[in-house]
Amino acid sequence: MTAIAPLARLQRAAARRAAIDMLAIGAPGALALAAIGWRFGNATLAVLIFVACALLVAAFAYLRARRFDCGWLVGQLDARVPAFEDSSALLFGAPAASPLAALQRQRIEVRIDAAEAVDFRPAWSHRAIVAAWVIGAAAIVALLLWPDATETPTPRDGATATAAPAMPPTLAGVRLRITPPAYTGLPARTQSTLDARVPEGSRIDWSVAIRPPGDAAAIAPVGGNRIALVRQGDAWTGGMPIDRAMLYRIEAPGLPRQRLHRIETVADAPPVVRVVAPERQLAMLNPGQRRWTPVFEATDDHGIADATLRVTVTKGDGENISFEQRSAAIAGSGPARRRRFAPTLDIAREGMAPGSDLIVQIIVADNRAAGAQRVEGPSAILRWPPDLALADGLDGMAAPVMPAYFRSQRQIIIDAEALIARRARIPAQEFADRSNGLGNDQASLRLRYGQFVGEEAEGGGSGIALPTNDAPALPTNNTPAPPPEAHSADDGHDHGSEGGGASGGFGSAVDVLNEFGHAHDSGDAATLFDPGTRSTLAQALDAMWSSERALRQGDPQAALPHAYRALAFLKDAQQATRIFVPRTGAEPPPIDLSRRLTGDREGIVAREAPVPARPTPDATPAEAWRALQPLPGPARTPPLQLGALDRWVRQNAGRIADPLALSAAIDTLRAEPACTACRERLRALLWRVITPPRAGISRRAGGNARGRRYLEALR
Amino acid sequence: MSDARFWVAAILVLALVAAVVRILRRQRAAAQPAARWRPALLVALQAAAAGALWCMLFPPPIAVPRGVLVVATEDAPATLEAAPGETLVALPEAPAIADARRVPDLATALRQHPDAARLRIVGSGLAPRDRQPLPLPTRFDPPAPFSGLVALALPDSAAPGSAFAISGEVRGHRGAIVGLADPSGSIVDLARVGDDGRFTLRGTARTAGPARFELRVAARDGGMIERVAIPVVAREQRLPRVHVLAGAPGAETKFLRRWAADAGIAIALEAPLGAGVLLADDRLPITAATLGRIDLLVIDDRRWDALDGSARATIINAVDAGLGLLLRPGGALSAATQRSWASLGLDVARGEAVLPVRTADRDAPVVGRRDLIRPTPQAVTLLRDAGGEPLAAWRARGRGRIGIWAVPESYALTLAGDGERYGAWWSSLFSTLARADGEQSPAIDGIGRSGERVAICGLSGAATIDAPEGRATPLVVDPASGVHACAAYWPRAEGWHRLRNGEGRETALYVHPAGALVAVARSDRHAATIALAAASRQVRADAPARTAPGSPWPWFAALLVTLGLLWWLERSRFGRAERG
Repeated sequence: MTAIAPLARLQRAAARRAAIDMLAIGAPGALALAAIGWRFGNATLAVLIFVACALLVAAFAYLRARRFDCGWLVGQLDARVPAFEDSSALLFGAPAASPLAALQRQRIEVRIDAAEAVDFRPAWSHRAIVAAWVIGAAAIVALLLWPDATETPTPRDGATATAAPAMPPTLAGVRLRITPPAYTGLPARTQSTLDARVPEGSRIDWSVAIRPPGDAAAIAPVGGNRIALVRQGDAWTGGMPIDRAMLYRIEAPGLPRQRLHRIETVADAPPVVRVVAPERQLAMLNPGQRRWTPVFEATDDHGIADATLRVTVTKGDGENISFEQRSAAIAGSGPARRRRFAPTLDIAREGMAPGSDLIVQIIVADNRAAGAQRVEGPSAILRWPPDLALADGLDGMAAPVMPAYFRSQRQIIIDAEALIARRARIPAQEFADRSNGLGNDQASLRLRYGQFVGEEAEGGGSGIALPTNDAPALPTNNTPAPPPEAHSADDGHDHGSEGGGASGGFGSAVDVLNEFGHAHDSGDAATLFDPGTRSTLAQALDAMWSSERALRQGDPQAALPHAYRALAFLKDAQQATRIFVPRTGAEPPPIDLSRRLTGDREGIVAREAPVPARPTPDATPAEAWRALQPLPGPARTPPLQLGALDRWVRQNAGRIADPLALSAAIDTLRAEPACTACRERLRALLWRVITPPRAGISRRAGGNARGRRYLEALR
Repeated sequence: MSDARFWVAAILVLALVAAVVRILRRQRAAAQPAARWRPALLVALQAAAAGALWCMLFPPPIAVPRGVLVVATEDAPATLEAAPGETLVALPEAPAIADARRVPDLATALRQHPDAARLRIVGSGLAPRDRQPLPLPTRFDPPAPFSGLVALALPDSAAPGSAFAISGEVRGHRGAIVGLADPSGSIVDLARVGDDGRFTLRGTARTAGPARFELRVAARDGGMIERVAIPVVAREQRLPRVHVLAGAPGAETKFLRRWAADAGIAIALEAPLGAGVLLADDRLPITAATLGRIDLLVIDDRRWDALDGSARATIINAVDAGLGLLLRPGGALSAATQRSWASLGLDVARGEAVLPVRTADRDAPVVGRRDLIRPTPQAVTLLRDAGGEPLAAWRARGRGRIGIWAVPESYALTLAGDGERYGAWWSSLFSTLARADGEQSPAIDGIGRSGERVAICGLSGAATIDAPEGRATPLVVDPASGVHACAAYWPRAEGWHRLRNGEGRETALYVHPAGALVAVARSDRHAATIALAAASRQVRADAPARTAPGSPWPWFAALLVTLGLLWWLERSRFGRAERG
């Protein structure tokens, strides 16, 4: 059997070649499967898969190698080695039974060398091997590039968290602790959104979880100082007091640019005071009343800190009025945010007398830490009517007395005419009485006007001076508004040099002015007592005197012409004042006297009237609006200039209703240019700030050629 | 006779002739001729076979019995059943009906059912696809009245800064509230619908570009009924060049000049100060060339009187060529001016009385108007006061327009703080009268919904439309639409589309979502179907008897039988002479 050893070697070589060929084909498949395991599982899974696949391939290779057995070799030898003469089976079979077979075996045994030169190994299956490796390599590359679908969803929008150490850091969670100022009494609260609306002066503490935590993190307000956050365990924390609304973002090295978030502040509102009782501001003292209890209510958003009661008592009447004021702290009842004040005032102890007013006011301050807001509430007035004193003890018999105002000259005329009309129907005595009454009115009026022209006061004319209808309503140069309008040095307008000791001689204008009048202009320009007006007023007084005389004699018919004359003079005086109102406006150019009345028009041309320039409405927001229009296809509008828009918003921040929202929208769009919702939001905000043109003129369409022909034919 | 029939007939005749010739020759050539009846029978059978083949290929029409075709449209009741003698078909919009056969459209149904003598349409009406003149007398059973927003008139294109109006009708909700929200979402106009259900809302386009307003219809108790997008496309306008010729300087021209200058309008004022001195921004000699350079001429009666006949004729010729002319009386007209202006076609009175312009707002300042505009059929009233009295009127002359203005001292509005109304009046006057300049921009005819065919009219050149998803579709203008130049488009997505026409101009078109404005669509269908049904009464019910092509199968059987007989007869010895 030694003779067949070289042949057996040939057989083993062929089997080995077949096994290696099989392994070469199967290896890339095993690698690819292992790569799948690594990509969607982990390394252990990959190793397991690889080992399993390798075993499987090895098994296939073994099975294939087993086919190269003795029978195969005999077939090959018979086919490919002619020297064996189709008798190679004899070499491997049992020792020959027949002598012929033995002879043949001996013959071919010597020819075994011929078989050794033949290569029995099967050819490499090149195509299959190349295809397997190419497909395997492609599959592995594809698996490596396949996007990671197993990332875990994160709690925050746009933020991603992953265990893979190569991923950039992301915002995993936030917590805001809002601590309102202590005085507000509001509880601290915690929220998990970054936008907040907080009372002014609150403190906000951020607690931000960033995965992986990284080296630093900060709160970056727009246009403010960054606040570096401090690492505490898993989170970055830090805080700041909020005094005004702001936009901010969270920044950390490697953290993708975050959207802007907004902190809005709610300002502390000043307290509000209202009068609960009395129902009307002015109350009249009831006869026999000894106490008075006005009720005030003060409300504030965070609480009333203290309150002061201010009581003012006026005494006297006419111009002789004196004030007495006192203030005292007052305690209210009820909760701090809605406090009631009901001071009880003793009328006698406050020192009220007939004709005096008791004015009660509450001044409250809230508890704001940064400067309390102090508000003076409305006042309640208790009036003791002057005449009521007479009726003291005669309850119910005293009629309320109306204040005595002067009748106007026109009213006197009207009353006189009415009296004349009723003459036939009333007794003569009553007619005379009424006429006399009208005479009294006329006398009062005469005395009133007499004051203006410096007549001697008659019958206590220096006392109260009450308004009349004929007197000009508004103070002019000539006729100042009469008292009781109280004037003082600080009542808001300039006064002439009043008093000052510079008294002229008797009857001089300045003297009279100082004594009776109240000049609002300088002494030089004072026209109050110019001769024309003075004589007009003097004539009016004369006429009034005549009228009064006739009225007192019970002859209103005779008084009427004088009354009319007086009225006409008064109106004249009023009209006259208008001339002296300083006028402003066009100043005609000086007349060129050299060619006056010559008819020479040389060089006279109309000046082109200039049209004042008006600032054109700013086009920046409108252009941005158009650049943001949601039209598909290639745009022909200029591209969006976010930088210019941002500058515009900052320059016009005072003019825009909500500049912070616009800034935030611009910033968001800058960071995420592809975000459709962000574009929509910015576009909506821009609409409100676009200034429309002043006139919307649309041009009518010209129509087509047929339409034009129709119009031209339509004569 | 069609070609196919001709050739088939020719072939058949030839074949028949050949067969007959062959039969006769064989008969004659045969040594022992067969019985005489045999060739005759063969020829007869050949002819019968040819006839049967012809009839199989072209079955003779048969007269069909008449019936009623019931067409179920959208909103048809699902329980609809056909009465005896009726055929029930359902259009694609119809709900599932048990007995109905689905047809893709009405024309197919009519073709498939030529036996129908009458049509009965059930449901809310025909879709735009089926709105063709109906060939049969039609009955339309209108559905029960429906509620909601049933009519909506969208605004035409607006100029930036000008107000636009939308109007519509809400049915079935008494006291409903309608509001118009601007693109930022804030309500700019609010109204309660009247007793007739109609409403009008106004908004302002702040700048050029497409803007999406929103109409919100709420019931009286505040529940939202409908929210509809209102697309407004504002286009930048070329402002008119205006020349004002005044008889003397005055407050009215001064304020007009100030307003126009503020609005950016090129306005030139020319007023003589007397003695040959002229206050003028820009001297305008009245010639055809100079008038051709301006768009609107505003002239008052004093200046008109001062013009000589040739200047007037030049102005009138310029109006014929397109110039706008606004006649602005400064007071009561002289008899000569009245005659002169009346000769321009405007029926004007002397206007000696000054009447107050009435306003709806009691606190609004009052200005006076001259009662010089008489309503005539030739003139169009441009502005009216709250009492319906005309403030301005115009009439076309050639390609231009002549207007008359009855408020001589409108500047008083500006002084009294009502500059808004002043601006609205003069904007309206300038817009209406100035020389035509704008062009008809393409627009969707009616309301476009995604998934529904729309007609886009006013196209020029090779237009292309870009859909929101980015697909560009060229539009093909239908030559049958004539001067309207309409093209069909089938939008697949809602939202803004960009339409680019061949000349490089583009505009935005808005397509509503498929489910929007349901009641408006239903109302449209309803009205259109009623109109079609009414028009179909003209069709005579006893029109020529309708026929249908018969079935070929009996003829095929006849052909088979004939051919079988022929075969048997040819093969058999029957009737032949015994071989000797």
